[in-house]
Amino acid sequence: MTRSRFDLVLDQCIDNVRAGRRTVEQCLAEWPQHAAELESLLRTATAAGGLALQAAPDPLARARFMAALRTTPQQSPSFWRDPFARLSGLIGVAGRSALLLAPAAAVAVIALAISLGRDATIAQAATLTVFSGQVERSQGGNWATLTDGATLTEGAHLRTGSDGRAQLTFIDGSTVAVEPGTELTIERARSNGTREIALHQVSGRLWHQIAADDRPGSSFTVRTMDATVYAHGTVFETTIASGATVVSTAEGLVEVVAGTHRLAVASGEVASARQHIVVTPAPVAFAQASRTEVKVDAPFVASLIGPNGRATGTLPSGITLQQIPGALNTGTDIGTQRINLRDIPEGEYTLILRRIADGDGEVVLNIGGAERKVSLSAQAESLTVKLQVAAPAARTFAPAATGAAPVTAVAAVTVSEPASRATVLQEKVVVTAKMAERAVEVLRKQGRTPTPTPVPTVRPTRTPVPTRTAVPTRTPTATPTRTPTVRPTAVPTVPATPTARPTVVPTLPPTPRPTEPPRSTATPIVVTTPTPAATPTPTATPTANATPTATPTASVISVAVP
Amino acid sequence: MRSLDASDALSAQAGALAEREAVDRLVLLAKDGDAEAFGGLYDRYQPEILRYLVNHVRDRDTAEDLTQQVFLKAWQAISRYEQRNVPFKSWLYRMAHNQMVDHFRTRRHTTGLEGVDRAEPAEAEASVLANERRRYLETALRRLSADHREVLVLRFIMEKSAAEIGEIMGRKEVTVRGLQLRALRALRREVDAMGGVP
Repeated sequence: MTRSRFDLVLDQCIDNVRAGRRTVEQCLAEWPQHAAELESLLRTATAAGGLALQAAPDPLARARFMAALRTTPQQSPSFWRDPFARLSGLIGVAGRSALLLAPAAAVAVIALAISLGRDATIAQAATLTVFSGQVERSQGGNWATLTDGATLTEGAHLRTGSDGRAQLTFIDGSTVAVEPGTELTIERARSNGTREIALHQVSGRLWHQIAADDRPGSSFTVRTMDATVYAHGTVFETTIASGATVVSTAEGLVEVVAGTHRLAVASGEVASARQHIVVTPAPVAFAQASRTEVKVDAPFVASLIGPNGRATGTLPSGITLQQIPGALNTGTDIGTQRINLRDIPEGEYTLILRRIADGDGEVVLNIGGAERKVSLSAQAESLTVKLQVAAPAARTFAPAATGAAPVTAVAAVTVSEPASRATVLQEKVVVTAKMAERAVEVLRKQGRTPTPTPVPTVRPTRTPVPTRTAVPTRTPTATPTRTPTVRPTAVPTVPATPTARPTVVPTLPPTPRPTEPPRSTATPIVVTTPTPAATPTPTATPTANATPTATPTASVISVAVP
Repeated sequence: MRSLDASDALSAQAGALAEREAVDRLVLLAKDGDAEAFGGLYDRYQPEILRYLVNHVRDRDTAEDLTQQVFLKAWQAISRYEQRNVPFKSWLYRMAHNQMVDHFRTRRHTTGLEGVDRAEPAEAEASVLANERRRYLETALRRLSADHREVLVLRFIMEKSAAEIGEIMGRKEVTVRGLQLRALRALRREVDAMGGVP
């Protein structure tokens, strides 16, 4: 080995030590003639490597950059190719100094715009509902546990643990269910004028229910490292797994943009994207895949309540919920409601049916193609059906022809009427003013008289009392009725802001209990254990103080429906 | 650490090819003015460029500002980028390097790393020693020429190979190895001149 090749020896040793193929000592033994200087330089190199500073990502950096980018024009190729064009450009009004300053100026202008644009409507981007497990937010490089009702603002970087299930409720009523092992950032969330919500999903599974908003400029986007998904008034899910992003539309239409590909994914379709280059439409129809469905052909509304209070269905107040990933609630007219179950998480679910108008009918449970009907008499007020859902099949999105599409498997069904008080029947719902408005519209279309929605008066300090959000308008019958009631459970825990409008809390008195249980006319399908008699114990315990919210358009309450 | 077997190598090769194709497509789209495509490039390379600049300027806020400027300039100038000449990432690195040089030219070193407090009494805690050691090295690194500092940062902090550094710095690989040798010797001399790393 000549002296002139010492730089090569050094370079190889550096590579070998870094890759773990050699230790410094082994390198020295291999090159004894260079050992003295080699040792000194390898030690120095190792020390230099220890100087590395890590830079934690700033979740807002991208939003700021993209805002600046959109106001920064590109230079045309002729600027570089044509010296005369370049010269004239430099001598012109723009000038070289302006050219050099342009990016910095753009940054400054955008920064100012962002600063000025931070009005009250983005003080609170979303309200967090924690259904189970660990939900954390990144703060200064560390992860801090979030509690139910936490207020999230733009830039919030969140993750759920292996058992963490949560939901984000945005001001416009759009909701995003967050499954275990998911990490995301709320990059943008505002609805002053138009709705602008942008999420950056890093991992896991999100189930989105996007409120319809046809106003120009309205947007809801989910960005992953593989693609960007644009949605308007739809229900869809985004899952990141095996290095790809899978987009599945349950209702409506979303657009997936990945690299040069731009694909509309309609209801019942699935697409996958990988590294911005592939978008593969996978013809797995939602309807084909989900042969498990609840069909309400009766003047009742149904709500499927999962473990920990997650619910998909409709409340008597007209509020619709899409909280359970893989379950889709459709139909707002009386007697048209459907809850379609594709691949909902395993566990025990309670389907509760609540009367909203006079008449009888039936509920059809289509479980894996086998129909089971439950009659609902004119006297029945409520009905409880327990569903034991088995572990979902592997989440593959192969073509339907292979039959590999995930299907919810229901292992056992138990029916009891009336809905048992002893049963935990609490939908954890965060209701925004926009959601309440839409609920009123639903009631009007049904020909029912909208009761003031759960956005009533302000009670910032008192313990809230149970209230009633919507009263069925049917003619009273002789049968004692159990009117569905809405009880506050987790009243918003939004931090008080001096300038904020206070959150509203239901204030109506409790609904009287029936003096005797309604007569049951339903035929149980499978009765495993007798349902305990109704115990007039309040199931919803008000626990939190109502505090003002930070935004005039985001009146938020949490309610539980017994 | 196990060595790569044949299937690992093939898989890595396929992954690298797919990644290169993805970047090429995004670059083409960005050249046509597609901001979202450029956003895809930003997502890929912003963390690395930020880390590179943080390790040069040793200040997070400054590095973030510089990073944003680098990408905005890249967006402006992407029409003149030719894929056949240099990988896009290396092109970004060159812009980041120029941005950093401009920064130091205008700022005239205000980082305060020049003055190391040698009077601090020796303490037993390892963290104190580690901090002391870091400050000595940072000072020594700061005293090197720009070329030497650049090659050391790229090689030992950004963990690039000599070939990659060659693409970034626009030099031959053999030249980079020689530069690396001289840079390490220079750093060693600076450290020795300061009395050695504690």
